[in-house]
Amino acid sequence: MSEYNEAKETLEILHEISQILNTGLDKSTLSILVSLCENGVNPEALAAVVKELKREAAALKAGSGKS
Amino acid sequence: MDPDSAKRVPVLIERLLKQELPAEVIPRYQPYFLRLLASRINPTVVEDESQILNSILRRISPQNTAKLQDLYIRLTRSRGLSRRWAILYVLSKLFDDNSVAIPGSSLELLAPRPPEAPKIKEKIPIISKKGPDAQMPVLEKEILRDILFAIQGIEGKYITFSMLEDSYVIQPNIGVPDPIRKMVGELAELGWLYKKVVKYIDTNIEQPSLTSQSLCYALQSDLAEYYRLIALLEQQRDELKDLNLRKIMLWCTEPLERMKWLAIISDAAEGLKGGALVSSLYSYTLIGNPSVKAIIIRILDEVSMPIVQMIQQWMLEGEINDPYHEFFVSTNLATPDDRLWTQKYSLNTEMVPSFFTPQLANKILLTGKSINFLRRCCKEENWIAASPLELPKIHDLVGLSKWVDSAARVANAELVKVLFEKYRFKEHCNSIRKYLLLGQGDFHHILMELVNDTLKEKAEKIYKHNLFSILESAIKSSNAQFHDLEFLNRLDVKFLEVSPGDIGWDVFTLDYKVDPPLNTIFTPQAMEKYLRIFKFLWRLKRVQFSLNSYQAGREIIMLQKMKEIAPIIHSCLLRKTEILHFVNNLMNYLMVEVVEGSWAEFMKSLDSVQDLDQIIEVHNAFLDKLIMKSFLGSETDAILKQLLRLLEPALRFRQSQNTLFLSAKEEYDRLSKMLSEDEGEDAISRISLESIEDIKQISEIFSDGVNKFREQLAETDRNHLKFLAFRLDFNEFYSYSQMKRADENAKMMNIPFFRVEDDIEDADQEEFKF
Repeated sequence: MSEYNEAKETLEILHEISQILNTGLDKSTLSILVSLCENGVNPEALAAVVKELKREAAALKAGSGKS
Repeated sequence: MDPDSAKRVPVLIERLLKQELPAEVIPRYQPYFLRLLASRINPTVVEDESQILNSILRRISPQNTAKLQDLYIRLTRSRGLSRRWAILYVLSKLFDDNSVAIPGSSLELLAPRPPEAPKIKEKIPIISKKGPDAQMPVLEKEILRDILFAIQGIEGKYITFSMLEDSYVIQPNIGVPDPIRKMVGELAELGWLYKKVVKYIDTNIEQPSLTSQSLCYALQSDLAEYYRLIALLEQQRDELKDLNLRKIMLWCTEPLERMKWLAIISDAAEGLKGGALVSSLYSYTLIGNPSVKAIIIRILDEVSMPIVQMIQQWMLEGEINDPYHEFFVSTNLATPDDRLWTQKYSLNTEMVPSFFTPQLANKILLTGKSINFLRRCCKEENWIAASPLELPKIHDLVGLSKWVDSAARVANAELVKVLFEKYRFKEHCNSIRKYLLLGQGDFHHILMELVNDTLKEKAEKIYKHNLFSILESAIKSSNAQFHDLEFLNRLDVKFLEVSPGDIGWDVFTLDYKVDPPLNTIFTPQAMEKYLRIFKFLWRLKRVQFSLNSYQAGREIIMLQKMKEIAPIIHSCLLRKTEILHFVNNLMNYLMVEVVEGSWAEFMKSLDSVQDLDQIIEVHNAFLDKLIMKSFLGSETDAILKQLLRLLEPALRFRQSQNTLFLSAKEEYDRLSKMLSEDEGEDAISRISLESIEDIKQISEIFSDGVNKFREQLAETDRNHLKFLAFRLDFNEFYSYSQMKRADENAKMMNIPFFRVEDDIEDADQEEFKF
């Protein structure tokens, strides 16, 4: 199996896990997260960032809905 | 953060926000998130996949569990990821995101605790809530490592020893929640106690004291158990990864309690050794808690081992192997053997364990002394003491005193047996009674006869060897010759200190020599008492002897034929009898009631003695009774003086009587030669008037003295003296004559009765001067 395929399969598995966990991440976001993790970003901080961004997005959505 | 990841951040932001925001707004968020990613929360996550997986599994619905596990296994097979745990962690954090209500402000980002923190507390970062200066969050893992150090008294990275609080604490600038701080504080007490115990061991293991060394070893064996516990905890931490603060807490509860007591013991033992140390430990065994009691008894037994061994060695072999003076029997090595019993060994009260009764301690001392006495003084080197019982531990006091009793009985019985059988103690007592207490009457009578002339000389003219040969011939001519030579050879003549003007009578005494080991009982002091009694009895005997010595009955009958002289002779003889009556009575009292009475008691109590101390005690009691009853004690000093005052004229009486009889005899001879008709007219004037006067005077002094003596006897509160007074005056001769005389005086002076007494007293005083 080529390296690419391997990476792809890994991403598939992670995506499935993420679906079970109901994180609402799509594959490309997940791949960014994976690459950030692989680069040594602190997962704690990363998780916080993602949560914050989601929260921000939701807030914006709500704000634009109202306006 | 490396530039590669930095590039990816905007993409991430874009992807997550693009639906809601125009593209130009996105860069505004970028620096904020970048800073967030680079923040210092970096090292706080545990890189442990299985832990993360478990925390996920715990929260998803059961139907998904199998699927997730399957996925995880597939993930572990693929080699695409190097930091699998990181992404898993991110995913686990993003889980249930949808269900969480969204709080408003973005400033909440650094909010300390995620809501799920308590549940998975062990493996998530512990973040301080202590404000800006307490920013250093610490992982529990590190705290665990540190606490395992701290309970061994070693400072760690976060937990250090604070002089201020005198305990191990987490450094105040490190961010941990208070409950953990508290738990660590409680656990760290163990370290503080441990350090204390170790310090005691370090300072005392080299001490010159067997007991504190054995305490150190006992403590060390306890610490070995403690090390085992720590090793076990470390193993749990490193291999099973299954350790947390609470677990340590639980594991350490019992060791903490034990360590507390070890520390208390080492505190109590500080500066003590030997018996004092044992005493101080023993007081803790009285505690009610059985588990604590067990710990302390075990340590106490170990500590007292040297002492118990010393007791055993001392009581069975009579030896003390006590290089550091911890045993409660101390030895004075300079003491010679003949004072071994009284002076060589003594109790060191400081070292007597406080829970030993004085009797027990004394018994231990006594037994060892007995053994040493047997070995060294009685030459019984081959005798070996053995106790049938096994030596109990020291906390078993009942067993210990039983053991001591049995060992003491063996040694003391042997000693008493040796003294009685080999050294014939009773026989020696008996021969002292015979020779020094005038028990052998015929011997003393003959000696008195033989020695009479010699002792009249001046003291400095008398030679000891002369007296000694007289003594020998007295022995040969009395029943004493049949006595064992063993005892006879000990009899000797002794001169007391001669002062100018003394005659032989004043300084002569008999002496009885005692060899070791019996001189422990017949001490010089005791012998001196014997000699005092002997001297007193000997003096009385002399008076009795001298009054009895003129026995020429025929001569007296002859003299009484002279009509004029007969009444004089008669009254002289009457007076002599009066004096003799007194002396005989006194002698009887002393010999029968004092000497023989006390002797019988003494022999009876000797039959029940169990050790040498009792023999000495009984013997001293016998001697003291003799001294007391024979007026030689300090209480009866006045009576004794009066008695001696009486004896002096009694002695003089004989001389006057001799002169009188001699002159009477001369007169008789003259008369019978003359055969003249004017017989006897001036016979009275021819005999020694002087001696008649003398005899009158003496007899007056004497009867006054006797009255005074009787009064003194009657005044005492001692029964035996009152009986003596009664005995002297059993037919009321003295009281009657006293009354008669008082009557006569009253009539003569024709003055009221009460005045007379004064006069008599005056007269008495005059007579004393005379």
